[in-house]
Amino acid sequence: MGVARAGGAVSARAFAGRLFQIALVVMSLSFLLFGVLSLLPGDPVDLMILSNPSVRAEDVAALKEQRGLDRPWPVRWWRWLAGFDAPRTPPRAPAIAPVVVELSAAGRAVAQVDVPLSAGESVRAPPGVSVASAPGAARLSLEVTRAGVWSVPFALRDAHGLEDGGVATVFVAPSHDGDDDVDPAERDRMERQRGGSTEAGVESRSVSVEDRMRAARNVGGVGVEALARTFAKGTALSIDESVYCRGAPCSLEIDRSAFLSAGRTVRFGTVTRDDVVVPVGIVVDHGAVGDPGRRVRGAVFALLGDTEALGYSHTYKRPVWELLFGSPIDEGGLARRVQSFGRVQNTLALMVPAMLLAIMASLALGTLAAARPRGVVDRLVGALGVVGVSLPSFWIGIMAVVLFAGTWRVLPAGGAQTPGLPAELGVVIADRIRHAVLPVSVLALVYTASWMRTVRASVLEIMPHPLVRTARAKGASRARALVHALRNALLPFITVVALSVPAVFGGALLTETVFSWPGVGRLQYEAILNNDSYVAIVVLLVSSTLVLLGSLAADLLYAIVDPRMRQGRSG
Amino acid sequence: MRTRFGQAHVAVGLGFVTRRALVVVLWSAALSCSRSAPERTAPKRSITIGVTQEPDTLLMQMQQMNVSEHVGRPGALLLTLYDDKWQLLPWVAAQIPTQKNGAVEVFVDDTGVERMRVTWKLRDGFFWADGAPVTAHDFVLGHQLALDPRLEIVDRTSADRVASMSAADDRTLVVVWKERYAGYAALRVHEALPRHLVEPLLKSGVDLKQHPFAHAPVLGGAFTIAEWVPGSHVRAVRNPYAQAKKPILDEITWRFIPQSTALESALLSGEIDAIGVVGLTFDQAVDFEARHKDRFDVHMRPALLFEHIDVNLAHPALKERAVREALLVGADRRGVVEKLFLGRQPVARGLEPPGSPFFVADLPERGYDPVRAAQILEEAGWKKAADGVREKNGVRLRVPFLTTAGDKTRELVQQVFAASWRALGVDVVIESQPAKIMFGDTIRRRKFEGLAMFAWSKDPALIREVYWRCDEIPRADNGWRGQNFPGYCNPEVDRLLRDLARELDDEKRAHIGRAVERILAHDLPQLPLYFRTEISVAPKGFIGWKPNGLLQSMAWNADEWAWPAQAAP
Repeated sequence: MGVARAGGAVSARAFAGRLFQIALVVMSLSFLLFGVLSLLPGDPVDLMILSNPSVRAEDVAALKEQRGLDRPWPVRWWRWLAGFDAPRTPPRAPAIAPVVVELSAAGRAVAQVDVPLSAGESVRAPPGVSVASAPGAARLSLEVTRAGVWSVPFALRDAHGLEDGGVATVFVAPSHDGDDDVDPAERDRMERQRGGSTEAGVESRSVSVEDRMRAARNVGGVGVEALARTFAKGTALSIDESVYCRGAPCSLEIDRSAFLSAGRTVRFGTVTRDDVVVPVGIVVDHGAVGDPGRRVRGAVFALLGDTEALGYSHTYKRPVWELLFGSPIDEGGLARRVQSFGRVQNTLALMVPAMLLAIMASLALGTLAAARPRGVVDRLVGALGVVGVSLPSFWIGIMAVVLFAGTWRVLPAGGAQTPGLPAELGVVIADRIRHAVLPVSVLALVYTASWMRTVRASVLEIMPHPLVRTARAKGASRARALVHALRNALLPFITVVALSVPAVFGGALLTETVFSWPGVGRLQYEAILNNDSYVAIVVLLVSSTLVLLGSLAADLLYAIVDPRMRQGRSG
Repeated sequence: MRTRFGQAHVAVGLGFVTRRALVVVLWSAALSCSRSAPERTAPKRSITIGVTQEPDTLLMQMQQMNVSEHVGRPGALLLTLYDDKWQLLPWVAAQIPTQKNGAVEVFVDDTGVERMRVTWKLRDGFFWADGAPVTAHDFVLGHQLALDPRLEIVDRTSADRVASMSAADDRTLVVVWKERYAGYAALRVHEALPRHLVEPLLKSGVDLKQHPFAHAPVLGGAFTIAEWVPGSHVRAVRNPYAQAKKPILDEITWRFIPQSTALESALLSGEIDAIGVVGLTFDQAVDFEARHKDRFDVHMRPALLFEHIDVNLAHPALKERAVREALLVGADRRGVVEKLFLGRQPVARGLEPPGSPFFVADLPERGYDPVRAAQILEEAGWKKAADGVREKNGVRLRVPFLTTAGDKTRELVQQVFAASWRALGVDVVIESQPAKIMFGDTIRRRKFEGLAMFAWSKDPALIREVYWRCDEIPRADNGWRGQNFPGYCNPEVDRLLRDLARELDDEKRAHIGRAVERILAHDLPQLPLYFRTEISVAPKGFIGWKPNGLLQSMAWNADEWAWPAQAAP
């Protein structure tokens, strides 16, 4: 306790300094990596359309814009790191009730469609359709010259520039036989009178509308009956251009098409038939599939618990957070959670036990060897050290697999768990341990071999020191003296261990590969191969943060181990 | 004394908590030992297959990796499938629609445009793994998803050709194509998704590809996906409602073991039972077969994987057909096949393998003949200069030769060919690039100057127009669209390919396809090398293991899969 408090007091400033250093390193590393990765050819959109023969240049541009890939990489980096977009939901174009008009005797009519608007919204319409804006609504006017079912497309744009497309349907009935000179309002009034009571009048009017709609459909003409039917249901699936031109030759030209934020595509164009040009619109509803660029806050917000902030992996089609820390599990409790460990947990499950084992083993072996230099133990330990350091860890790993999994069949050959085990904590943990034995041992062996030589050397260096002689002179046993020596020899050892953290991380890659251990090292390797930039960057950040935290821990340990470091250094 | 000190230190270091952890560890280890014993003796109801890659997604419309197809479709839910003899089978479809059986009609619509209507009748007995029947509406939803411009759907070739798709009733799917299209029954032409599950998801605005559904979809074939633990495994379990294709096994587990040596030791140690088609390389398989023939069957299936050299026809020398012919005759393809592949990967005379309807048996063999090759070059005016390299009108015969870095087999083949071409007086410059850069940029943007060696795979019944049509040459002004990487342009081939896509009669199609094959084998925009084999390892006597070397899941018939003891009747 006292030690910890003293240590804390001493290094408060150093601690802050370290944190600042971590932030700085994280920033600059991610910047550099972002730059390097964006130099690689083939962004995700390029790769996606590689074998898609029918993709158009404008689709590519739209996709790139949607994902922000069209911006220069420093901008993309900054937006990825610290960007903040207000969560935006695209507008939804309102459903417009069909409008019924009737041609005059001259064969003309003006159809007017009102589109209700919310604040900040505006409406765009294709050529030939005029838009009159009023507060709360926009009125689309279109002169129609032919009976049939017409579609009036429009795009609703909100204040953020997000758009949705809608189509209003206009039923154009042929002019009424006999009472051509009666205007529609007048005729409605007459019909209402014929119907008797006011209630019945409403009913009779609606019947009349139905009749006219039927009349409009029967005429055919430049119409879109099929389209109207589909829109009546709310969606249009793979609308083909041909539905516009029924019964007679006509031509359809699509001027432009646009992806709309709400998951629809709208195609604006014109139909020409008998020299009559009619604007048309096709809206294809793809269903509101969420936006891949849905992430609204930059990566720094991950520190505040926003798991989406880290971005999205193009290779694994999952959020980076989920790849690293496992998918969120609602049911099955702890056992399920252990079964669905993410990469970070897996790597820690490998590194932490391996490092602890290696630390304990190297302290014990190194001290034993130093106790009697050139004794039997020393020579054995020395030989072991040479073998451990000179053999590559992957070779030891492969040999271990061959012996323990292949020949003797006592341990699994690889993987972190047996698929399909029941979710019981004891079973799951036992299975994990069985799988971890070989990789942990191999990693621990390799680091024991190099660290114990450090321990031995520094203990030997301390042994002739006056403090050991004094202890011996005061009657301390040899073992007691060794404890004194070891404590003083710990400082260089701590440095070596702290500096080895990145190496253990890197070494874990080989071990992970040999033992098919689903850890961070393998993920990083695959991410770089696949140009999966967000994953690569985040893993780099996680590992560099771990390394920096390792050296921070070393600083704190110095203070605990060495009383001299505790005093006066802060002032 | 020394030892006692050591013990004391350790005991203090461990402390109480750690000692308790130790107890848990020992107890769990004991438990695990007692568990594993009875497992070994129980009759096997499952198979574990190791593969070196992990899928990118199990939402089949978005998959970009071959392994996703294998893993994601254990017991397929497709209208049609190819069997192991490359015969098209009706699968979910009751029959394959043809003009003869009246299910394919060519008609002229109101506007005078010719369209094609294909009516699929679905078989009974297919159910989603939650019990809902598979209906024609599920296919319509799959098509709707394929049209979404923002989903990362790689291949919209067929979806874009479809004018409309609708379900006349639960069992009848009506597809109207914008024009005659012979690929109407091609593999994976229409995909189904469980509408009752997916449509509400789409309506609620979730991002489907990030939704758990994409990671463990409910399937409607013999099996369904139970879980996918990234980096570790995908587990497929029997679909309890399957009737039409009822599985024998209970479970199929795919383990991801990225290193092929580790894959091999996992197989030998019994961790996995088999190795899937994305696993061993050819030489590893040969070696493995020699050592473990008694326990495992090594399957080497000739595949529709065509190893070839693309020639950039903009190259000043390679644009001459004679030079290309000389290179082909001057390359010992048979020697490579005999020595490197023990004769098990057939030499390609043309672009189509034996077994394809467009295969032409009497193409010239163009066997290795360095003398003839030199003669062709001499006749074409390429004379040896003082330094031994041929020249013509001041142009040196300098040919950069690119392939993927790190692919040992290709690099070896590259060396062999380069050596024999150098002997002919060709200044071959060996280049290699990581696959990522080569396919992502160099090939796609036609930045390779001379030759590029790689493989492609195809549908057995189609010749893809994007490979050969003039307007499919990638250019800056078409957004680098198309895959005509050599830059080949022949109006006759364009016309034939257009006819081929529109011809519905198999016999006439074969005729047109063979004509294309003959022209390409003559013009040599690609130097054909050999057809690769697809390699997998199954336990001895395992029943139903029929990977077919096509872009189709190796588990297409997983319903038939069984261990020898199980297939008694």
